[in-house]
Amino acid sequence: MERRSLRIRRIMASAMTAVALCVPLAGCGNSKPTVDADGRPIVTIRVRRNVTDNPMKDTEYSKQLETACDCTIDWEEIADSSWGQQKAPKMVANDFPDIGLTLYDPTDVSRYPNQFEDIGAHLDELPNVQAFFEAHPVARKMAENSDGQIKLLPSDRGKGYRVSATHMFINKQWLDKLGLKMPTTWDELKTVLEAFKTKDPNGNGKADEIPMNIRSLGFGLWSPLVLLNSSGVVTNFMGSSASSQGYYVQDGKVKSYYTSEELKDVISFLHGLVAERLIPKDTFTRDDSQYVAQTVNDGKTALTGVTFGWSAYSEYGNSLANQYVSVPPLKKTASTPESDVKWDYSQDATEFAYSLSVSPKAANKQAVYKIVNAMYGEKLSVEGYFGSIPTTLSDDGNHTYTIDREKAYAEYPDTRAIALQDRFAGWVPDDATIVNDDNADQVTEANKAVEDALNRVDPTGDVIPIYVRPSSDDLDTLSDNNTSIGNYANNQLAKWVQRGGIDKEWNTYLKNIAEPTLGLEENIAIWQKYYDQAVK
Amino acid sequence: MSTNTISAASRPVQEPINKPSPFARIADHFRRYWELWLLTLPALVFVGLFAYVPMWGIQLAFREFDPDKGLTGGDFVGFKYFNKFFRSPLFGEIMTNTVRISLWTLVMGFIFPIILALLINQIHSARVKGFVQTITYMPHFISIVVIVSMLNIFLAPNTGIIGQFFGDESLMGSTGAITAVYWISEVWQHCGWNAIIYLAALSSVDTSLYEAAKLDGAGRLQLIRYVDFPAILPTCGVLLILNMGSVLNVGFDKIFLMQNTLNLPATEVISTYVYKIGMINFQFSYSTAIGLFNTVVNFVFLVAANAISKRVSNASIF
Repeated sequence: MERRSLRIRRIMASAMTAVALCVPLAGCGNSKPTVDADGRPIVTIRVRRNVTDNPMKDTEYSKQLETACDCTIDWEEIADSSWGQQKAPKMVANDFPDIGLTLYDPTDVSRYPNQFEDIGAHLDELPNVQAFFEAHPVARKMAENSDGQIKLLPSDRGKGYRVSATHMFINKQWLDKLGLKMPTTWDELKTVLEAFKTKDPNGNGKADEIPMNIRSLGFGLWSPLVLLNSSGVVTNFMGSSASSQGYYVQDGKVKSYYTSEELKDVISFLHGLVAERLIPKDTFTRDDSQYVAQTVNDGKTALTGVTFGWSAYSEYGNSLANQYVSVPPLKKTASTPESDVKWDYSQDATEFAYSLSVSPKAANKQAVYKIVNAMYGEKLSVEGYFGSIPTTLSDDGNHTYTIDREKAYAEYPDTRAIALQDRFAGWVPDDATIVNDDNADQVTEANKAVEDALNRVDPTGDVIPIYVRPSSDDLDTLSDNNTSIGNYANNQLAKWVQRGGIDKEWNTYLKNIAEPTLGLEENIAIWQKYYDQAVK
Repeated sequence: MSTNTISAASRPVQEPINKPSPFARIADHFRRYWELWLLTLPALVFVGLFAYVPMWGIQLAFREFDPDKGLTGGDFVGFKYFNKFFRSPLFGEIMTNTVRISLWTLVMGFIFPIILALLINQIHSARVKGFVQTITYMPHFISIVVIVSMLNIFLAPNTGIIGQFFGDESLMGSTGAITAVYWISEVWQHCGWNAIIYLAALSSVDTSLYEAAKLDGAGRLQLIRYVDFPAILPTCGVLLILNMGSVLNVGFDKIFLMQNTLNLPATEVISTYVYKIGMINFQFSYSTAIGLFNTVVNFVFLVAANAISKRVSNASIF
């Protein structure tokens, strides 16, 4: 009898342990409270940030937002690197925050249409957003989907960023030292690069100069394929634009870069540079870190002559940046007419970004829209991007704001650590002036050289505007086909740049890429359909 | 195998007459052995929860994914996504790449540890043996990211310690050489580690067998051939069967990190393609279908290898 009770006690003990183990799991199922201890509504804002070491909840910006909405804000901050992995599972699990900042893009909205509230139906509550749309019709077009609903609000970081995202830089100090002129055509560029290679422009007695350096060969940010603009084919290598998938428009007809003669010319030119060791031959196989090692080097001696990037400072670091200037867009040959020379038209995607989403399941809608409206006011927009007043920013009156360099740039050369920076939602209006915004000043400086060429671009006739957006099903077709096309074509392009042979193989390539199974024609037809709807 | 003997011994001796009903037998079984069942319960729950319950989600491969209705609520579309994959222009390329890379790795990764174990077993000094063993299995602990960076650096043309012998283009960019780069680095990294299990089998060989063989005039090679090799053969068989289960599994991380624009036609495999379709293009149903196809092929290979092995050498895992 005694033994039996002992056994029962043991079983009880193990059963209790098992229950105890399950308790933490049960916590996951509980829903969060929707009001705080004082009865004020709680609103969750989830934001993706560059760095998360200065929590948003401690900032003056957050406190001012809370005053405006008379609510408590629960910030959820996710580092960039983790969001890439969390995004898909979170969406499948229907985990959407009350307010999301730069988490989603129009592709996500068309796949999960019921998880995004139509903000357009609440514009009466959002006078600041209305004013924003009146000032920038492009932003409204970006926001509205084909049914006239607005499910993502764009953010506008202001005139300081109304620039192309890609610029071509050259070492001006080297040019001057060798007594060379700024190149204006592809041939002149090649001559300059040859001089860089052989004449030891950095003066250290070693032939360690890398005349030109490239990152990769895709239709993406900072690609050498922006040289396509030299012959009038305009690119828009930023975000998820049609151009980044390889499509452009000419005389109202959508075409693919992959099959254009202009691309053939650029590839042949690049191969010429690789063959003569003017571009490192291991570009496609080396470790990415080597690119930075070759551009920034030790911060004292410049190693690289020409690259493509955002600003001279971001490319070469603070100490070498003053040696470099932005190159005015090159002509393909001396006979190319001036009017044919254009440049990467990514300014809309650089200035505006898809930013704010609202969940239809948000418990406190009124508070949510008070926050949204407050975010799009001038002062809070500036604070969201550049840091809180008075902590690191001062309001000098007359729409002028000054960044406190010492405090704001203590950790990074921009405001990513102390504010939401480019992950903000808001509208920095044109009459607001930001003093000491180094990043904008540097990129605006770089952009001066390409402004003339950009003015020649017809925003709807030369590029597929960023507000042209296919439906969810068509997006699937596009991406499937692009995967197949890219798998074949990108490899061919890289091979030709590396080893040459494009003249011999071009016709076979054109035949292969036109295979109906790859779907190039199908994709062109899809983009044509949406382009016509949006533009005509 | 040992499992056979255990199950034979533990089978209760049955009375030929008065057979009890099946229900009564089960009840009797649990009355007798419930403690053992309780002991295995956590493991059973674990396997059930994490291996069998998720299989419910396989139906996603036959349904159109609908975010509002969850993983299992979309419209039934049958084999639509499988057909899509079989007709995809990349299907042939992906399958050849997967099979080529995994077969090379499977075969070489199987042979080299055996050779290494037999060689290490020939070392007499225990200290030297321990030293060699430690040195050879150390690379197993290097993370994949580091391994791939090392490959990039070693194979860099002109400057890399290996790359300097191969002209001015990196082997990492060659569609012809990348398979070899993959399996050689794989064998180098895991050879020592995988040899441990064979060394364990070799250490159990009765030393009197060596003496007897030596008395019969056997040389060193003959000792390996007639004593060591038969001793590890059953272990080899089981390990080979287990490996067959992953014949279409090229580990995702390493090949994904090794991909670049130049070698992509030779390095796009099922796992990297599933990642691109599912996690980058968000086509969950399509990528589930491809993943399921991969699993089914592996399963067929595993069962076939097991059946063949059972018939040929009487060694099997089930």
